[in-house]
Amino acid sequence: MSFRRRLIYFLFATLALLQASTAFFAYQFTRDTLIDQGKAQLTQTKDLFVRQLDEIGRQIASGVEVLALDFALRQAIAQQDRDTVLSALRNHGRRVGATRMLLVGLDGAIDVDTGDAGAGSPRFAFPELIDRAASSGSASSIVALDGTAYWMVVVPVLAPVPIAFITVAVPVDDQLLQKIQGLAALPKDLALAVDGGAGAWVALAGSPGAAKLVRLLPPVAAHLPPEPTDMVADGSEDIVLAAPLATPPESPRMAAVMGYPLAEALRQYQPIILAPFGLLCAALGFAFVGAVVIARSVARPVEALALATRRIEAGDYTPPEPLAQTGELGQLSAALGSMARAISEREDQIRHQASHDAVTGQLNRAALDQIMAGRLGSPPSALLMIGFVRLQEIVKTVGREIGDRLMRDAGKRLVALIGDATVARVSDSAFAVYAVGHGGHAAAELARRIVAAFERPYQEGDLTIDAVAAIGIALAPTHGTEGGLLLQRADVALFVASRSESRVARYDALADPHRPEHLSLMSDLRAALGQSGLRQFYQPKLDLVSGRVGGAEALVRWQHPKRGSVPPDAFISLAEETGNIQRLTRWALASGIAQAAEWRALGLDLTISVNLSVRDLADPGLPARVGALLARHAVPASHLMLEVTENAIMGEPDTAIAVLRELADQGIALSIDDFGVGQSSLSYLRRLPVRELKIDKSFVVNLAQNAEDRMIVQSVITLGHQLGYSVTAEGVEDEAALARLVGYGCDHAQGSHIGRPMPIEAFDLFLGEARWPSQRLAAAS
Amino acid sequence: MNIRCGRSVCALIVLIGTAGVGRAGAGELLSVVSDDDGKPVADAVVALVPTDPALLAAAEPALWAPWQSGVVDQRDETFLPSVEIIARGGQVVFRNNDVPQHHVYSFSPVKAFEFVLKPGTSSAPVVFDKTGVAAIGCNIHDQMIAYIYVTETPWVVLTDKTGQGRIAALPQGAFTARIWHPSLPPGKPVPSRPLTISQGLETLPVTLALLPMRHPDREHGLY
Repeated sequence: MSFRRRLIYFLFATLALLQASTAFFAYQFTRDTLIDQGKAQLTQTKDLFVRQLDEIGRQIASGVEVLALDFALRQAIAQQDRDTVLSALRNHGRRVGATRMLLVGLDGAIDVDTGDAGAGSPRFAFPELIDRAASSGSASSIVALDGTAYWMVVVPVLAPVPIAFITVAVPVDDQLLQKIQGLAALPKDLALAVDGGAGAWVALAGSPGAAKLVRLLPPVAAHLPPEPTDMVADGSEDIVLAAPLATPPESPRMAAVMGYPLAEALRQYQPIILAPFGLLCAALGFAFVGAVVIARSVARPVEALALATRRIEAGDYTPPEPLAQTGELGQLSAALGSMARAISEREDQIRHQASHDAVTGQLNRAALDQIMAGRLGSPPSALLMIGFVRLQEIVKTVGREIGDRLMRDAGKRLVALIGDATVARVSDSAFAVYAVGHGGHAAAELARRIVAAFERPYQEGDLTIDAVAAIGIALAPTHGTEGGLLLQRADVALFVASRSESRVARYDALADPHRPEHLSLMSDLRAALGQSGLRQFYQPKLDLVSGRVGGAEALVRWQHPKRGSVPPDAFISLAEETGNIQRLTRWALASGIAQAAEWRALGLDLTISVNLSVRDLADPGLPARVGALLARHAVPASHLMLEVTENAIMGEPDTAIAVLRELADQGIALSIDDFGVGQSSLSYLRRLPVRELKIDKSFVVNLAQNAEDRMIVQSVITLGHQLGYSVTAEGVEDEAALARLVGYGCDHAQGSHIGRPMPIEAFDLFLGEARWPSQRLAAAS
Repeated sequence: MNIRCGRSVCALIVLIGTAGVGRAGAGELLSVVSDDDGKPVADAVVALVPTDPALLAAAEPALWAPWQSGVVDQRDETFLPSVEIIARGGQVVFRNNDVPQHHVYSFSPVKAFEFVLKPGTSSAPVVFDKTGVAAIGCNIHDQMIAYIYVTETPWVVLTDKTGQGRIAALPQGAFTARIWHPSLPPGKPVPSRPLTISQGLETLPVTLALLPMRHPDREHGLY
């Protein structure tokens, strides 16, 4: 239902209810008042009506009495002059309004009759009246005769004693009653009722409404109610009061009936009662017009606002025409306008945020994806990935805020360089530049310019940061025609670039470790771990003091069933990346310790060295597992050496130190592998339960030729010994190097000059024929 | 006097025998008339009519003498007496002793007449030659009524205030006593009693059912 209709209905209902109740109460009050008034009037006028009837009788009687004294008439009566008497009676009858006059003899016989001669009884019908007249001088009563009401007056004719009676019948008809009513201010409805013989009252005379009143009366047999009674009949309501009239016994019973027509009385008040309805109609008219006007003034703007809202919903943020109104709707319209503006601004902002990087203000990865959507390569284009390798380090050092500002500055530098190409930030530490129309040469040229631009360090206050940029290049269509693939390839190239001298690399499919086949290598490695596809090689470790082989380093080798030998660097880093390194270490430990037990069984006193990965040091269960293996194979802990790199210890120091300590507490010797190329600090190493330093082979390989290397090696050996470590040199490839190491007091040597890593069968042969025999167990020797 | 309507009639007749009057001796009758309430009724006429007409013919002329003439006076707008007994053929003179004129009339079949009497004048004698009662009125004063009782028998009496009337010199024999009074209901037969007169006094008690007086007490002239 519309607002307009509801408003109209409400106003209509309110007004109608109000006016109807007003009219109802006015009607009820008027009606009650009129009923009381009517009853009072009837009660007051009841006796008056009867008295008026009696008065009529008395007037007639006195007229007749005068007549009866007329000397001539008396003479005529006495002389029985009937003609004279008849004419005199007729004459007088006209005067008093009588329809019939009789001369009745003393014996009750009718002597003279002004009515039809011969009609009627020869005797007077109401002898009781004669008797009363004889004794009282005159008698009168209302009687009913032949369906008419009469005042019957009987007067004796005295000459001077009664000689006859004159009787006069004056009809009490409608006119007479009307006259009485007028004279005495009686109620309008008057009637005379007679016992009709059938038990019910019958109207003899009265006002037009009289017959109806008489019908309302109770049966003749019942008493007439002495109080006014409220009666309803024929759809009208009357208050009725009936009084019995005295009649001679020869006449049927009669009653005077008075009525107060309530409906008619109410009719006078109709204007008052109807006034509310008139007012209602007028008010309804006003209310209708008012409601239409108000509703229109509300509905029109609301419709306009609804239209504006739908427009905004559809994305048209033009603010709606402001309404002329100042009320609530005006406010709503203004609010809608400002809402549209706010939504528009916010949408722009969101759209900007969705496509831009918050830190640098450059396009983001998603925006770049959109730009590179579809098939690329025509014309040829280049995607350059510019990465800042040191960014993580910088952030950790100077904080993220400066890191962010540095990246913002980097973005600006790129924008200044690239012309109409597109710049986007694609990861925390990398931007991408998408240059349409750039072939390989143009891309390389652009990359060089970028590298040059970033040679100038970022300056902020007195802080100078050299954010070294590396650039990987992928070309479309050469390396791919699809945006995602190009990004991936540029990323791979970036990885390569970040390790190269020039800092720029083009994608090389052959060098890409992230090709799909790489993934299959991982699953193959898992399979190899399960199926003993791996083999353990052993490299002899020469004790320079005794000149015997005192131990061996276990090195894992993987013979891939299809690819052949896989280099250890490749599959170990793969195992580290894929979380399989712990399984690999477990396998290496198990097979190494088992081999040590075999050697012991053969009476050989060889220490076995096993490499641990950085991930192994994060495993708190490692020491217990190692202890269990040693116990199972009955190998003393002193015959197991675990090698870790400097970097592994530095990566996660707390956990690593805890694990190392537990291992050392079991009596297992720990060795720092590749010592000299990492970033360990000596003071830090001092806190570790380390027993041995292994000098990186890069220092040893050219020992005979390089004086610097000789100084370093000599210094490390001296330093190690002074700190209480034994020192092992790796990469011993010639006799000269071995001789120098012996000269420097180095404890152990390892290298191809002594023996390459070899399978266990070859190692056994090597021990049997070698220049350097194995140490033997004391018990066996 | 205010006499009310009676309900019944009972008679007590006392015959008083009188000696020496007439051929066959003489009796005497005392009539005592009262109304229903037992009050004495004055102005009642008791007339004894002998069953044997010979007795009437044999009545001595002296018996008729009191009834041969009468005077009806008018004083204070009243006829006095109100009942006058006259023998048939007797004369009545109406005499105005009053201040206003009186218009005396009678419509009675017994004797109809009318004349105007100026104060201080008397009428010519009016001869009543029919028996019966003539009601005399005044056309000027309705309340004035007098009755002339024209009797056929000399044995007649008008009761006094005590309601008594005495008739003497009655011959022995059978009689009918006729009792009349102005207040008897009109048009009804006159009450009568058969009785037999012998020697000595007899008493005739009569109770009359009378109409209430239509006119107020004339003696006091009230209306």
